[in-house]
Amino acid sequence: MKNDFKKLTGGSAEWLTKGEFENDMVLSTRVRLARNLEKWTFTNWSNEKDLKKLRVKIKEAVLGTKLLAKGLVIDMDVLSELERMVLAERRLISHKMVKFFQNRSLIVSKDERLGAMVNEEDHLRLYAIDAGLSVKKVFLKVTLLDDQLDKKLNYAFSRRIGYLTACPTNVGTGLRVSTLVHLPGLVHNNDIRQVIDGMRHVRLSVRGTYGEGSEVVGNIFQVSNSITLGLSEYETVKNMEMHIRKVLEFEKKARDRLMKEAHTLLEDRVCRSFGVLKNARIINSKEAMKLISEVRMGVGIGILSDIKLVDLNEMLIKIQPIHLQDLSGKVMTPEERDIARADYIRFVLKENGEA
Amino acid sequence: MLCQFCGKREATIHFTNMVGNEVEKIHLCRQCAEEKGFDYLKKSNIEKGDLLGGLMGFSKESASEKKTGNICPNCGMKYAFLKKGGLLGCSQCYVSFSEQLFPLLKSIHGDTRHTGKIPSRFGKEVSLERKMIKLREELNSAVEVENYEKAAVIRDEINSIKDSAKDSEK
Repeated sequence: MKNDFKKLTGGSAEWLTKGEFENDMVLSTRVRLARNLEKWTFTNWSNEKDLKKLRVKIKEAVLGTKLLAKGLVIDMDVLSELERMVLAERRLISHKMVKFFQNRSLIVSKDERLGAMVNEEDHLRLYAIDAGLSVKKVFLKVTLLDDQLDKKLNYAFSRRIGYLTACPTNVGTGLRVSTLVHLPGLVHNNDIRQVIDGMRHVRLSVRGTYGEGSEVVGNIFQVSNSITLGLSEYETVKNMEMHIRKVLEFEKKARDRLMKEAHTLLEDRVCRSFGVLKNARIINSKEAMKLISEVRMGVGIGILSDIKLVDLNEMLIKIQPIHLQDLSGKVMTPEERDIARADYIRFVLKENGEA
Repeated sequence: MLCQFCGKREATIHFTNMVGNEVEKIHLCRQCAEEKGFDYLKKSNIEKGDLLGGLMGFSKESASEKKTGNICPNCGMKYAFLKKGGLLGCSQCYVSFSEQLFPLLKSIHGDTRHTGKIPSRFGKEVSLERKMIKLREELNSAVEVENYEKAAVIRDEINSIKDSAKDSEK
């Protein structure tokens, strides 16, 4: 089978850099649906023979839908580990799929906005993603793909508890809405703790930048719904959008307050960060994220104007360890990567800046 | 600023706390923050499976485990294994281990009834069922407030749905 990996990784993740809903406080909205096929054992408890059959069946169904008929098909077992890691850094596959790749596949639209993971934790993980806060629109896209597949596959479903998933935390709608929010104002003002507690109170989970078990880098938080049973998809989407908008209001207020009460301090911070990014020769990804976060806020509140948000968004993807790597060449050491990262950042900022 | 707990290291973590009407500010170093459990977003050492397994462990002592058996007849998943990994073996596991799983679902989601989307092949059946549940709830609340006229109307509606369901079975 022909592999479409090469077609993907040349460009930048379009959803993040060419989003319609550009937003200085929300990086992206991702919505996924977990589905399994009736009568088949779940992926983790399945044998290779069944997984193989399942993959053929599911791939055929997905490519038979209108939405993903022209999707790129990428089989995980023909990729190197590095190549799989690139897909994970672009959020096209999960980290689990980097590790467990036999008989796993990805079918994804060319713009990387709509995809289906085959034989992940569940037989099918459908997802849609876009820049900014666009929960409803992104949900409608993925649920439409689900409707088209529903006609071709018999989903495992219980009248009482809904769509049946490998993990009990996903049962019901199988719906997970995740937004990446950038909240430097609340962090600087020390209000972030209360806001996070508030979000947990309305049963949203707040995690690090890269999802479960990850650390918060550059003041970017991943907020998602934690309940999938008892609420309909519509309610989940509506609640999510409402709560996030509230958090953004708080962030806006925090930024306004900083601008008013500590303008010079803030300006100093943003401009210093910009200065370091423009001049560093060695930089690790954590420091880079932190500095880009400051600069991003600076652009958001109008302190900096000679760099665009989309370029900073793209930078957040491209400074990741595997993206810096020349995939065909030898594996770079962390030190070599830090130099390559600094070179890349200087190059981008020079292209955009005063030069 | 120095950490207010150890007084030695530089404070890098700052919290604002509301205690009654007083605003309390806490400044501490990373090490003390970790010790005091303020590192709420630090990478967790608890695996998802451990956590779920732990939750399921609550029913470990109960007799229900023996009663339902500890193996899924459809896929051969063992309850003991399920507790360890946190993932089910097949969709039938939800029935095989229902006695242990329902309390778990309740504690995770706060609810055990799906109200969302339905696969097309279940469409008619489920929407009828949902309508019945809603009508029965309405009937109960009408009886509670002693609105018997309304209750009678709802009862008739329930009966007519039941009748038409019987007809379609024939």
